[in-house]
Amino acid sequence: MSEWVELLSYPFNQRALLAAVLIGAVNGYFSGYVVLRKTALFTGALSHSLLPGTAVGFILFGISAFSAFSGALMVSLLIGLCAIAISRGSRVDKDAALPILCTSAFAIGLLILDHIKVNIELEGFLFGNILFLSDSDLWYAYLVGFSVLVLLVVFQRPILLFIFEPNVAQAQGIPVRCLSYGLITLLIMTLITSLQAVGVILALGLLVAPGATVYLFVDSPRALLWGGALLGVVTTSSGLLLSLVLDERSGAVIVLLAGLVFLTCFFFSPKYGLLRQWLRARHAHH
Amino acid sequence: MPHRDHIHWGDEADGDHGCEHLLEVRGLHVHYGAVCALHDISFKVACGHSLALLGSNGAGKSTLLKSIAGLLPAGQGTIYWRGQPVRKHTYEIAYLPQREAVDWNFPITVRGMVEMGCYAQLGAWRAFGPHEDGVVQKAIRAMKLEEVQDRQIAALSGGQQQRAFIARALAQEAHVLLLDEPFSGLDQPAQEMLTGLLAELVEEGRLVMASHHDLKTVASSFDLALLIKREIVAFGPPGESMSESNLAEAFTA
Repeated sequence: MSEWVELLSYPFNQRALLAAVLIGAVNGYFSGYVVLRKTALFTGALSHSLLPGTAVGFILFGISAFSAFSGALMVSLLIGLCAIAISRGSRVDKDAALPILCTSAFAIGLLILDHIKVNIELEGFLFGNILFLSDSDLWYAYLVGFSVLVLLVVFQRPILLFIFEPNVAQAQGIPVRCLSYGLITLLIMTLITSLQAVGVILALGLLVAPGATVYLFVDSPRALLWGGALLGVVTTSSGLLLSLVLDERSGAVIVLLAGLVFLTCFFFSPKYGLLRQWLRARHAHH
Repeated sequence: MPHRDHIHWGDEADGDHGCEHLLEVRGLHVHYGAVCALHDISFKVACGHSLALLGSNGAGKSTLLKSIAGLLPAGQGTIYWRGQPVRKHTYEIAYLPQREAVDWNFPITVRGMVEMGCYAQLGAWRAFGPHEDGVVQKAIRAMKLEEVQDRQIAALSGGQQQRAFIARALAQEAHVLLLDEPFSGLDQPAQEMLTGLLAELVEEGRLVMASHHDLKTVASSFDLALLIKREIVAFGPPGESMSESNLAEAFTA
């Protein structure tokens, strides 16, 4: 116990913990929507496009969080539109088009980074380094993360209605197209915020895993969203502390923890777990 | 609290709605690209009626329902409800999707889904009050879903799923119910139950419009039939509109 207290007396560890809590909450809440909308694949593609996106942003607008965001927004929207165009124009569907586009974009990003004088470490991009956050990084992350969370909570009803049944939502006068693009923009903002602290792999993991895990337990969208947020906070903060104690890479430990929690619940959830379904099927046979 | 709903239903049913609200479709054309889906559709129907939309696959049944619900980009023609374009009455018109189009694994219970019907009037922020609680309760009771109201929606039978969606439209206090193939996939008892419940809704003064494919049950379930094949083939009580020649015209390519 005293070891933990000592670890948390360092300012960079305190900042890391604060960032972990925020990112866990925002990504975890969002993961509920990602799971409901079944856009995990799309989110993955989007996260890859952040690399060329940030690179392009840095070239166009110089090095700042704003240029990273605007570059990422442009490139992701471009990729999204290309995917739709490809799927409409041929027999290749969107699920095939997206991975091709996003891996290509990722490769372009790598090549660009080789040629501009910006020092982005690929490993930092993938896993981030939560222990090297500055105060201003943290403030920025909190500002953006908190705004995203507030918007998601405030528009919960129309968003849920839209996800459940776009047709009915539209019939009730909800601007579904705006909502759809708005969600993508918020998703990119969330990814960018997480990128600085924890890298793209962790951001992606946290944008799917908590929601998918809670999905195995609940029958209420609100419980899914808030449960995702709670589980996100618990996984990120306990993963961070664990990594400090074990002296392993924080990002990797947090992602792994989220994955293990999901896997455990996938088998043993008393409601929709595999074991439960198997027992129920057996029971039905006898 | 004054009634927001001119329809008296559930506990307040008094059998006299005295309503002559009119749904009017005038000169509706719908195109998907170069393909003409609906051509010059015009008809009027008052609330307190049930209308069956008949026609072969691709005749434009779903398209017509979606147009009335305001789901398609405005083509030519206008649709009026109570003398005004339908877009002004979003909550009074409820569109019920085909059962195949619904994500049944969505984590929501029957009650939760019926409560979603109230969003149409409450908007994004206003809280649930006694009025909404009452309406939700009434809707669940009217569709005989009390015993399954806490079940997740995938754990329902086909008939119960259909009724749950109707209950949500009731919680929305909709006057016009647009149903896309409500009877498809239901077994005989479920079909009969749904027929009875729809008849009650019509009795209360609502307008029920459903696309339908079982010609044998039209006369017992609906008091009006609209035969379409991109344009109107016939419109009127089933006894008149469903003559052999009309049916032959509507159902041959």
